Amino acid sequence: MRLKEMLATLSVLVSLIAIPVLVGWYHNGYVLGRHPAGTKVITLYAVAESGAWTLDKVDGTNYWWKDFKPATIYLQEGDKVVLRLQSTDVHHRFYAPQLNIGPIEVEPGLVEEAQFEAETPGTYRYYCTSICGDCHFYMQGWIVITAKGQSPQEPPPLGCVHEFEPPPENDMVAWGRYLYQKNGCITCHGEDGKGGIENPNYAKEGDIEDPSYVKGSVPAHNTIAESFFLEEKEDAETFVEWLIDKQEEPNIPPPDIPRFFIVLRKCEDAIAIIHEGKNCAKADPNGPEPPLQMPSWEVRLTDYDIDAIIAYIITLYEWEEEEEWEEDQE
Amino acid sequence: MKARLVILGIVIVLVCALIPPLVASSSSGGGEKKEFFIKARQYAYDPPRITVNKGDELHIRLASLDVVHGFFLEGHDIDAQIEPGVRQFKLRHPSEGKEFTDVNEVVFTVEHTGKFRYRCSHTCGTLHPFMQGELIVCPNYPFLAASGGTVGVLISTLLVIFLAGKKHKDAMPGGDAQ
Amino acid sequence: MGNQPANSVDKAKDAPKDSGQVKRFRIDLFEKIPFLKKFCKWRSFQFLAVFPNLVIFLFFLYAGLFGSRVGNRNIIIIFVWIFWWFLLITFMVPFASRIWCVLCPFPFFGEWFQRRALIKVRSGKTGGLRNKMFGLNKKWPKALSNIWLQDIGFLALCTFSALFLTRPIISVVVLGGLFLVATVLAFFYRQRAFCMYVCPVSGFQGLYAMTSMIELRAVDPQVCRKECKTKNCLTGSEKGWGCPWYQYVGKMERNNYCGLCMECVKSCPNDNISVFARPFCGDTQVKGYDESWKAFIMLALAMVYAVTLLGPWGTIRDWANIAEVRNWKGLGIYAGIIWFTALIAIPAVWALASWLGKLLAGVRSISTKEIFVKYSYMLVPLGLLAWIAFSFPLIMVNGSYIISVISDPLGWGWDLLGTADVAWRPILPEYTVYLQILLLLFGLFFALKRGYDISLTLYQDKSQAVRSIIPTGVVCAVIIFAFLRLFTG
Repeated sequence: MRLKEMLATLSVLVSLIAIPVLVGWYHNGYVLGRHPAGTKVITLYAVAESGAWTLDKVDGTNYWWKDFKPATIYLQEGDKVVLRLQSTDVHHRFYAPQLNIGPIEVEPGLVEEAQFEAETPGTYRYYCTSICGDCHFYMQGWIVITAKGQSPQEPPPLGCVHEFEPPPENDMVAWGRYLYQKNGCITCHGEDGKGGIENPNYAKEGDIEDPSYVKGSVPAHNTIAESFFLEEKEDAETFVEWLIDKQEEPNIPPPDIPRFFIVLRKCEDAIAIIHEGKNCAKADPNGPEPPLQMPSWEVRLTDYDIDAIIAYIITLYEWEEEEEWEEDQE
Repeated sequence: MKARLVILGIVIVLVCALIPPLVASSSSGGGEKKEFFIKARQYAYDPPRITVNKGDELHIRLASLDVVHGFFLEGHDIDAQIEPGVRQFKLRHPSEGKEFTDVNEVVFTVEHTGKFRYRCSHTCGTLHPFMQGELIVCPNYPFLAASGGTVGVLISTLLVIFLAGKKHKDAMPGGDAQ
Repeated sequence: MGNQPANSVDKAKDAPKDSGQVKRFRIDLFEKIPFLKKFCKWRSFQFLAVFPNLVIFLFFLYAGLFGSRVGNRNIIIIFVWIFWWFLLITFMVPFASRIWCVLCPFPFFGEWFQRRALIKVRSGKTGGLRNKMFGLNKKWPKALSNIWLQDIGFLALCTFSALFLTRPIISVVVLGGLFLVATVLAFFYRQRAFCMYVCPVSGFQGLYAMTSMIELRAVDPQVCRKECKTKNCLTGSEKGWGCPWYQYVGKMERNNYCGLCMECVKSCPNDNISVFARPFCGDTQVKGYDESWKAFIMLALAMVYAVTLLGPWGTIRDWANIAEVRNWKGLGIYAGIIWFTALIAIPAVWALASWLGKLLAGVRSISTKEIFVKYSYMLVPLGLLAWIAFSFPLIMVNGSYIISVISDPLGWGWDLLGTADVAWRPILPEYTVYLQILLLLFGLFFALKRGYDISLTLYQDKSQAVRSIIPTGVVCAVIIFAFLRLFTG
């Protein structure tokens, strides 16, 4: 009886220690350790609420309070890397187009592995390309590959800003501005629609034959008034007024501006793009898919919302200065 | 005597269960083309419930309001994956394989009546396992029969107990389930 | 061993009064399966039953803390709330009474502390016991010596079910919390005060264990009454610990508060305790308002779950999902509806039906209160079957997660058995409704049948008895109809 009692006691005590030890041994030794020696195993956790692929270990104990920062992955030229990607909440997609990694679908609770070798030194952006929440359009980070013997340069910080004060909904231009910020339009089209955000291997549709038109960046919006053929500031203001008034009275007569029906058609084209989204063409047909694609906002924005955004981006045009003529923006 | 009462009880239940479906089966309808646009969000579908008639041809468009969702319609071999911001969605028929194809809508004819749930088949967040909606194909025979059956069980159990109780002190009509 | 006469059906007349109305079968399992008796009498029995579960449970806690946040890929969620829950409500409770209480790891450390033994027995004197026990061994407060605490505790816990059913970390808080409370209470109070009066799982198990097809009872209660002076089942002996649930088997006539730990089987000097197989819904007595309300609460929660978790309505899920949606007003409405339905609405309807039943029967001497409490037993088979009907879709739809999660318990990309990539696939979900219909109608049938059995203990005249259960019977039918509407309509 005493022997039995001792055995029982012993087995309870052993089991208390054995659980974490066995789990750690199996995970580190077998699951992580099965890659060839010298491989860098990097685990990235996707967190929708923070809009980050993070290097922190994310689990139930910290998810609910911690603000996770996007990971900057520093590599040396020639490093063999295994990325272990996992989601802590919703579906994400990992994509680093310039390094030919992905797009990799990351379903919550599953671990996806991606192998690659760090070749050309440089600073590369990686993205989440599946809409995953308010911070989705901020969900980007850097992979920095440095040449042997050199110290890495720190890339600019990234992170999600998503707290915006909503204005009264009936102030149409302000509402448009709010939606433009809150929905992350600014992350691709730039602050105040200034554009200039790099979109690797992107070409404007129809321009592929002529390499001089190939664009590596997302269209700007601050010149949209011009591309709508609104050539005078007054015309633009009248048109926005008309857009606002039209919400109340759908059958309002057209405003007195030159070439109104062309303006209207341009405006409708723009609405259609917001409504339906647009897949951008590749500059190099053999190259990777451009990571930043215009999503369809059909179910997430109302007609009023879309009109408000149009009204807002028309007002972005800087009339005082003489702008260079740019290609018409979507 | 006991056996006879048990049979009486069962007959009452069956008759009660059969009446509502028989009444409902005379109603006409079906064979129409019906279009639905179902929007998925964490953790429900809008509309949560769609009601059609047997024989209707359904054209269903799917969209997501927030994150990637699924759409698994039970009993119809339909499984879709819906990506937010994309107008097309991915569809597959699980019995035919794992591959998804991009489509604009899913089209099928409802052959069976009853309630079929459509549920999220792609992990979409905490309450994902409970994200579901309902396709009701009228006339809903299982429900109608069950409703009649409820009345039937109530009447027959009480009646049989009553009859049995009058004559046999210890008999337990209906019998233990075992 | 086996010095008692053989018994089967004819023993029924010795059974307590409530089941004495009708001849029901009763099979002595210890007699039929000698190995079972030997196994239960083995001193290591309890330890060997609990220990694997303790290890598994601790591993679940670890997985909940450090494993994937994604509930359907974390073993704690899938194994506790889908697998365990399904086994508990569809198999353990209706077929094997409180067998879970033998396997439950919650009181393990507390009981170890009290006994300072895992296998052996300590003789001695503690309070009225013939065992040496450690700890303060206080008596549980009289005012709380009922299941009200379990009623309210379970209701409170289940108000937040959408959170702990889906988030591993909150499951850890709830399960780990209960584990801790069980352990701490054992330092202060006698034996299994936690299990008896606090554990929220215990409350409904006790109630629904009345339906169970097995029971632990005295083989011949006459032996207890006449020959036994020592009551070792209650007080213990050098062979077994005194009943941790404070039960005296000689007078025990219901399954409610017997944890099947088998200590009494070991300590009984007359070898007069056995486990019997019996018909479904063998015990038919509800004693006291606390147990009636348990039945109301369980029924209300089954309905709330059917609406919240299996219904199509997103708004209600948003209210319940407070941690993400943070709609406090919504949670208020949600909680208000649950508490009002469980504590006030259903009891009020039941009281009305009981009063009508009294009027219909036309016997003044039998009070509405008596009808109210006794007939609330009808809600026991009804509620149990409603819960089973609720639980089947859970396993049929999400059962495939069990297969994938067993290979990757922490959601860390493991593949222990090669099944980690098994895709989610419901098992014949379109046929669930037919199963649910059968289960619910079966529940209604048993509610009415046992309701009548109970009415016979109150009324001499059979037609009075039948009339007295008509209103409550109709209420039962309406409840079943409501479930059918939710599940199939």
